Formats: sequence, structure tokens, C-alpha cells
Amino acid sequence: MAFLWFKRWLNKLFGKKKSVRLGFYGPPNAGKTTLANKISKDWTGTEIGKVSEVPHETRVVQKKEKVIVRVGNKKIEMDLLDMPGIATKVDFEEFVDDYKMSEEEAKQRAKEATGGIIEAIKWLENVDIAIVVFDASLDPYTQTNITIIGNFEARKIPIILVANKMDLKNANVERIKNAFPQHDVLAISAKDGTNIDKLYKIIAKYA
Amino acid sequence: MTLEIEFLSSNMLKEKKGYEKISFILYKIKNGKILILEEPLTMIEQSKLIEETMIGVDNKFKGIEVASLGEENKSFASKIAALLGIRKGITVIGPATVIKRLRQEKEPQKILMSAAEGIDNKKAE
Repeated sequence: MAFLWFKRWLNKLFGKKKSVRLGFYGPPNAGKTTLANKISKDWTGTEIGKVSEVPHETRVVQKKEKVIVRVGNKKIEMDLLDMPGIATKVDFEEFVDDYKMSEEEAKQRAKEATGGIIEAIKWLENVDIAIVVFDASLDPYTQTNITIIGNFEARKIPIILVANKMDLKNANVERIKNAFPQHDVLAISAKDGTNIDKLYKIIAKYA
Repeated sequence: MTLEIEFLSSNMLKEKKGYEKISFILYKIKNGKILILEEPLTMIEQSKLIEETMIGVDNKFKGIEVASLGEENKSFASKIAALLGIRKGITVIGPATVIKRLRQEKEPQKILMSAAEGIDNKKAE
């Protein structure tokens, strides 16, 4: 672990300037793709992936490479990496019961979702900055969120916590702040663009 | 269905490292057991556990519910203890078909367990 951190530090100091790998992490349906789309659209004019109410819509890591973001006088080249939502369980029957999918379709989706979670976990040590996205209307203190954040902390990778879906009536940023007091939390709405300019400034600080 | 809860001491877990520890835990969970470990899992172990769980998910095994309580390594003494491999806390893990949800609370530290639907009926059978 210390070796990885040291290698990253040396690369940053002496290595060739390369794209900053910005990973979007979080549980399913937190709004990771909506946020990645917003950033991608702001700087490239195109989106990165499809958004859906059905959990596990993103089942492979979606990439948008060499995105140039300008914050003040700073120009940052980034690779946006929209990760599949991390979960400890995937039940095909939920897709059948709650989203009226055929059994075959649901089983296929579940199979792809588990593959996506594995891929997202493998990427944990390969991002330069992690944006951990929360649905601010839900309980943030879950083992999945603790595991995601803890892994980045253990690997000394900078983390930005965002409380997304602040446009919802029952959104509560304080719950996230109380759950993870060691980090600053930025309240945003990826859907309507609230505070995305502030997010760019925070990204620029770490890039 | 009989609900089986197994306690795994930290001494016993100490003998198992890395992948062996994770597969040992998952083997028991796949057999329907709820495990209480006498230690919190490290963050790397937790991510490995999720990864290995996902490899094993199929039409019958839907995954796990997991919650860990432990000391945050903030004090000097707890940092030294963590370096020596001494970790105070517990972990509760069970199959998602048996545990619907493990909700955690921070202060005071609590784990609240909700049983999956149908567990009571199965027990009565």
C-alpha cells in the first residue's frame, strides 16, 4: 500500500503529465452517470452513458478520455470513468418483481451487474481522484459506502464526497456529513446542475 | 428452516489469511449461516469479500449483507494495535436470502438486523 502511494507520488513529481483518472463511485442509483454526463456534456458536448431508474444500468466501466476542463487559469486533462454501482447483493427477482422484466432478461442483467461490480472494485486502486456519489435522500451510513471510502483512504487516493439529488424534498446533506465527518461534503444536483461549478474547483485542487 | 448463527473468534480467523479467509467466510455463508466475527474486516478484506461474493452470485445465492463495527484507528495506541494486527470490533455477515438488511448506527454503535421475507414461514415449516 505504502509502495503504491510512493509510486504515485514519484509519478506526480517526475512522471510525464498524463490525464487525471477521475472515477465516479457509489452505490447503484446514486446518480453517478447523471453526474458524469453533466461533466462530459459541459466540456465535450456529449454524454457518457445511459441513465435509468432501474438499478445497475451501468454494468461496465464507461469512459470518456482526454476531457479538457478549465478552472480559472488551470487546464486539466481528465479521463472520466463512470463505474458500475457497488453493491453486496444482486437479485434478479427484484428486476422481475419491481421492474417487470422477463426472467431471462433479469438474469442476464444480474449476471452483467455482478461483472460490473467486480470491474469497479478492480479499478479502485487505478483512479487518481475518486468522486463518491451519494443519493442524499437515503441513509448514507451503509457498509458499501464505508467500504468504498475506506478503500480510497487506505490507498491515499483523494476523495470528493458529493451529496447528489439535492433537488429531492427529503434530501439531507447533514446525514452524510455526520456519517463521514473526516471529509468535506459538497451538496449538488447533477440533474439541474446545482453546485457543479464548485465541484470543478474542488477537482482542480486535487488534480 | 433453522437459523444458524456461528461465532468465529479472532484467534481462529488469525490462522486464515487473505483469500483463504474470504473463501472460508463465503463457504459458510453460502450454506445459509449468519456469521459473527470477533473482529472488523479491513477495508481491503471488505472489498475482496464483495468481489468474491459477486463471483459466486447465481440464481440461488443472491449475495450478502455485511456490517462491521470497530474502533476507528485514531489514537496512537489503536494505530499501534492495528499495525500489530490487533483489531477490536465485530463483523456480522449473512446471506441476502436470510438477512434483508443490516442497518448501522454510529453513536452509539449498533447493528440492526431485519430478516428477509419468508424466514418466519420457513422456520415454521
